Amino acid sequence: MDFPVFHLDVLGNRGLIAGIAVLHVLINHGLAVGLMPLVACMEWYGHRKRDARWDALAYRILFCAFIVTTTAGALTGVGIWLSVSLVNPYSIGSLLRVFFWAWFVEWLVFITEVCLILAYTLTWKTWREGAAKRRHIRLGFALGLFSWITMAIIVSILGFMMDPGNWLADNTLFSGFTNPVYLPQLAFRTPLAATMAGVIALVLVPFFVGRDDPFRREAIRAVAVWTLLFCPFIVAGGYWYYGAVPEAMKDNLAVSVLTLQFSGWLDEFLLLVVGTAIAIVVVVQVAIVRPGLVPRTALVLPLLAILWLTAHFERVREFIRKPYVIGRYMYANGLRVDDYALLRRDGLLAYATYSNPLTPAEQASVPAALPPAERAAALDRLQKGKDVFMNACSRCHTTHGVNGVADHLHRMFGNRVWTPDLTGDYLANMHNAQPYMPPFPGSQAELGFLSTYLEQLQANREPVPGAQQAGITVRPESGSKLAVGERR
Amino acid sequence: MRLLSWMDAAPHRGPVLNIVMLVLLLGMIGNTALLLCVGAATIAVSAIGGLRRAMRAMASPDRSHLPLDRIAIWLPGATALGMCAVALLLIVENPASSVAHSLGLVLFAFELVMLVLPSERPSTAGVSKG
Ligand code: HEC
Repeated sequence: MDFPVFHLDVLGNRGLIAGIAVLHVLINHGLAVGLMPLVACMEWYGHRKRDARWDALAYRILFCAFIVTTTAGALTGVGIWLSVSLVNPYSIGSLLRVFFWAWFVEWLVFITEVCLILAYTLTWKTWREGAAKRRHIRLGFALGLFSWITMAIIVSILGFMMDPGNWLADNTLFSGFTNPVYLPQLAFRTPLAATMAGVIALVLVPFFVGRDDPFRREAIRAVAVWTLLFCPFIVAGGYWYYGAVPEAMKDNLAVSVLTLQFSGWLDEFLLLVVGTAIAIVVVVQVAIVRPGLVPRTALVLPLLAILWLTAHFERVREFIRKPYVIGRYMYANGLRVDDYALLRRDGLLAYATYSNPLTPAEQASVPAALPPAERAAALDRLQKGKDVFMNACSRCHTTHGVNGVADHLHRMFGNRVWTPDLTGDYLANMHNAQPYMPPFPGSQAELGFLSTYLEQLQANREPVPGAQQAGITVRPESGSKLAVGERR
Repeated sequence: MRLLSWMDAAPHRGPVLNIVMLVLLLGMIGNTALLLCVGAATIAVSAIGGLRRAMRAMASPDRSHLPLDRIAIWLPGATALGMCAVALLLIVENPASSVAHSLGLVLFAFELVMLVLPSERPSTAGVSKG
């Protein structure tokens, strides 16, 4: 616990990461991985048919993608790693150690991708004829390939976080990279990206080709064919992927798609998912058979539907991994599974370098009338409880915001006073009660401190600022204990 | 009389009406086994029809050899068949009063229509409407 705890007490840390990550996935899959090959295909098709209209359309679509991927796409890509390393530096640290060379290659591939998209876009108007045009088309397919490789590398890391597989035994990059979830997930995401690109292009075509231009129907029909072509592979890939998800994680599925309160609605939700997928196919089918019949607004429907589906898919994927951030290796609170025995013996705080000072509202929960010595002791307990909370719970919970503990406690214990006696037993067993939570990591005394801290949340609804706002103090006891193998 | 002339206006209107009535009937019977038999038979018949049309399209002298154009001949029919199967699955797997069951019926009718509708030729798209 060598880093101060970054914390957002309203949105929740998960909300921050999820927001950035979902946006990035939509841009990356839809506008880069899927769209670049589609644009190259359009260019090639137009070239073969000697039909300049395809060329003009492809260029305009590419230009949109170019603007968005090089700005919002690149920013959110960096943003994911930035936000994740703020929220959980330990998991990123572990991933970096395992995937160092993969990330290094990723960087090279990404730079290549950026150069290619610049070259592809900027040479479009100059490499028009004969050999130059053919070279330009090849450039487009190379761009598509490199976009796919950037995704293919990162997907391995995502798979690793779900199930590190043999890496747990032999700790090699190779076995980490070829984790059991890797290929199934890649087989799912690749056609998903292609379909998403088709759906996006369907929305764009009417912007660039007039309603009365017969080419509009031709273009819509062609893009719809592309879109539909990959749908069966999504289903097949999805099926394979689902089979590769560890069994224990599937138990989390019900809570993951909704929240605890709604987990009984899983069937309705699944029906909604199936219905949404069917709606996409139906609109695209009509777009093929009667391209002139589909109004522009109807073409937006598949886009919204696929965005909704993908966002949910990512959310579920992130959630069902719980209680781990890296399957069976590290819990979502950033503590390694193997360190638990040590932490339970010595206490969590023995290894915590920083402390998050109490807010005035928290201090006010200790009666001012107490004799000074007693008050100081109570404040000290509260401070320890807060530090335990920040280290053990705050990566998944806020106090009163999204997934707030106070709301959970209120649901469980109502208006009874949340004394340590009342909550302590539950906390000691919380990983059994809710398998997506890690076991409590600290000592018995720390469980008491935590309960004390939770108790004051019943009356105190003030938000708790993270280290980024409140600053930190170095814990006086820190450094007295060092984890095995660690040196200062 | 109005109905008859409406049906004559476009050659596919008759079959579409037939399909809608068939599916309505199937839905009302509420016998899953019968539904499955009739459904499967309907799929098979439509599949053969679609296959013949696709073969003819492949053999037509002015066809293009580009992959997109070939895929465009096969894909719509194949998709409709696949979706018909999905629809039957929804119908059979869910109790008669459920949303999923009704969704299956609607989807089944829609996909059969997709199977019998002749595809619009893009080159003449502006001329022959609907
Ligand atoms: C891995 C992330 C994670 C960590 C770490 C975590 N929790 Fe949770 N906890 C959850 C999730 C997710 C839920 C269920 C949220 C929902 O309803 O959707 C939950 C639910 C709860 C509930 C309600 C449980 C019930 O049975 O209704 C309580 C109380 C709770 N957490 C307390 C804590 C405390 C105290 C800590 C710190 C010691 C903690 N949690 C650590 C993820 C976590």
